[in-house]
Amino acid sequence: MRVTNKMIANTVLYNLSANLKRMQKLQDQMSTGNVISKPSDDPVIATRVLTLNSVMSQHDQYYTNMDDAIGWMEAADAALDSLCDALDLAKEKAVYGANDTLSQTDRDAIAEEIEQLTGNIIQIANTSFGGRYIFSGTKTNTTPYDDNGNYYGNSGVDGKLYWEVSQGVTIAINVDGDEVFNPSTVSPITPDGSHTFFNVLHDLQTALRNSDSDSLSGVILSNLDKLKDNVLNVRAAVGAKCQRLEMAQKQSANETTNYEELLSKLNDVDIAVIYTDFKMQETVYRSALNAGANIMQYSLLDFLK
Amino acid sequence: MYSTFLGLETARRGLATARVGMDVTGHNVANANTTGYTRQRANQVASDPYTMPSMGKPVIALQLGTGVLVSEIRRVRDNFLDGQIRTETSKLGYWQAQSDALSEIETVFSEPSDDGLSALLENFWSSWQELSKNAESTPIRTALLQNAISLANGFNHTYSQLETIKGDLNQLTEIYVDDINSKARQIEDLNKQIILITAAGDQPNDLLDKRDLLLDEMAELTNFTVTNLEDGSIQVQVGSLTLVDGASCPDQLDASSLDWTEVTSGALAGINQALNKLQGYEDSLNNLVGELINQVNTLHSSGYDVDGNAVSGTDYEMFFTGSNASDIKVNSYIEGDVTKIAASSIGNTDPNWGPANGNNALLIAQLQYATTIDGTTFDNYFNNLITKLGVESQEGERMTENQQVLVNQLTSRRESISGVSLDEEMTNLIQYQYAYQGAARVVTVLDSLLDTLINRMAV
Repeated sequence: MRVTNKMIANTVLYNLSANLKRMQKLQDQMSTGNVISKPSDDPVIATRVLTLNSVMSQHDQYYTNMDDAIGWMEAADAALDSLCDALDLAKEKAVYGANDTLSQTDRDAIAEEIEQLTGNIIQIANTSFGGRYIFSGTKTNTTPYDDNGNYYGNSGVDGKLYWEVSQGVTIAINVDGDEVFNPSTVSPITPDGSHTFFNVLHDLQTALRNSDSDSLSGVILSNLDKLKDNVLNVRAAVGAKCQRLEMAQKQSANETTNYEELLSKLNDVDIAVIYTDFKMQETVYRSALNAGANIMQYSLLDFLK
Repeated sequence: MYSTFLGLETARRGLATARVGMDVTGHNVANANTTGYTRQRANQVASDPYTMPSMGKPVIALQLGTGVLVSEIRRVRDNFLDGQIRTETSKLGYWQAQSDALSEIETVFSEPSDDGLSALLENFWSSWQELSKNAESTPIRTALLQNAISLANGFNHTYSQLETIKGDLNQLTEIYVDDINSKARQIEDLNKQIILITAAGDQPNDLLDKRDLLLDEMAELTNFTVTNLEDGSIQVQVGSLTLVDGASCPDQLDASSLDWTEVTSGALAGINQALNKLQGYEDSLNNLVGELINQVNTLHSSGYDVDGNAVSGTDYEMFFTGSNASDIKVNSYIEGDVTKIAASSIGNTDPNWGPANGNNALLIAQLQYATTIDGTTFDNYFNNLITKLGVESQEGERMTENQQVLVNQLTSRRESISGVSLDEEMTNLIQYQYAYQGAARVVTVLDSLLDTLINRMAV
């Protein structure tokens, strides 16, 4: 084959630009840390990266949802805990008040304490989390209880806050006032429209003021027990849900790690490999430059006299 | 008996021929880097011999050589290779144009990234999830609104950029068509000159080079067939259109009525192909956005705002307005009052209604993984679009590279045949130089012979 000067020049140019192109690609990968920067670099990786990104974003959202739900439920749990303490105190006072040795003045003093306690319980019932009342169903911006224990929230299916904690799985994250403060198992002596809980406390106060020891040690005490049972049941349910979410969250965190690993395997450059490749490419480029520079310099002209 | 001065004439022919050889060499060297130049060679032949009867051969005449002549100066070129190069160059132009356009489209979508449309979509769905948890919160509603606006703007922007590319490609088509027509006229012009020179019996080497170069350049833009005519001119046809016919230009390409069954290769066809693909992406994008608007609006219109009022039948019924990627907007009434976003699934006529009811927002958020469009989810539909773009762009790049290698090889072969080699020219130059010196020496010797004969013989 006949070789001309222009052919040599063309070949040198083409090879140099091909080398540079490869170096640029490697440099791009080195500086972004990503194997691909556009879909055509590798459509298969691109698709998987895109899919993983959207799966991970969805996953993150569910993780946040679970976080928020756990926060909410922990707040409810703390409120229910205080409620148990308050009920214990009420029961203690009821038992003490039923004692025949007490004078009316003593009982009046206890009744006074119960009134304060009722105020406390209403405060607990009006607990808010992040500015939202947790026992008022979906009416989170309405104070659920007034001073007389009248309920202004809602209940039932429509009183629930349904949050999605993983794809297609929604859970009710709240307990409404009816569930906690108005159990159907309890029948107060004088139902007056406000929720059972407060009726019972009211009964307790009335019985103390009237020195009605029979009621104190009888129906009121048993009602207080039933109220506490109910609160414990509700607490158990909240605790179980919370635990379930915490487990789900752990699993979700594991999955996220797996996804991240996968994503990293797909699209993160292996620094060692890339540096080696780059060094090799650099060597090739240098030798191409060297060869080109040498071969283009000479022709017969250099040796003719 | 032949003339006393015949030897001088023979030597003169030697001198002249060597000069022509040197001039041709000079021309080659001067054009070593001229694009499209074909090296030329002076063909030397021995001139007609002098026939003389002699004593030794009374019947058959003695043939005495009379020196050398340059019969012609011709280009060293392989016409078959030209055809091959042009076919492959056309294919290169086709893939190159397509690949360029597609990689530009890839830039528009800028995926995979943290700020492409897929990320905007994800933010949009997440905002609905957040709203489902905090339906009564105005800041959360505002965040959703902002994310929805970003999404709508993202679609608008992407679409308008695709439209810009489309406009650019259409303009490029016009420029290329003008270029082809102008080249056709230049070829017509060259044809006229070539016909004249050929008729005079000469070789219009440099004009032929120019014409071949024009054809090579034209091959990047379109496919065509070349027919050689007897008078040295050529006919150039693109499909059924005869762009050049000897010394005339009967037809012209028209950008508005190109027949794509005839223009099948070259940058013109490549751009057309890219335009078709671009249209496909635009359609997919519009399809996606249309369905998104439709699904979100259907759910939204059946919901209730933060005060428990039904949005159906009010200005706030639709979450999005518009019908495709070019005109998708968040309903301007909702933009003005985020409390009207219908997050609740029940109204205030229901005694159990509460502002924190986010069930309708949740339904909209769940569209994220619902099979809503072409049997897949919105996210996947969009990912498929990007994958398709990636695959097609990659194909374009790959084909361009392969075709480039092929064209390089063929060009190299042509260069090997037609290119100027300085080493070779220098060698030739020295050969001619010696030939010239030799002929001059013959003149000197004859001169001294004749001097003896004419001046020194005693009369």
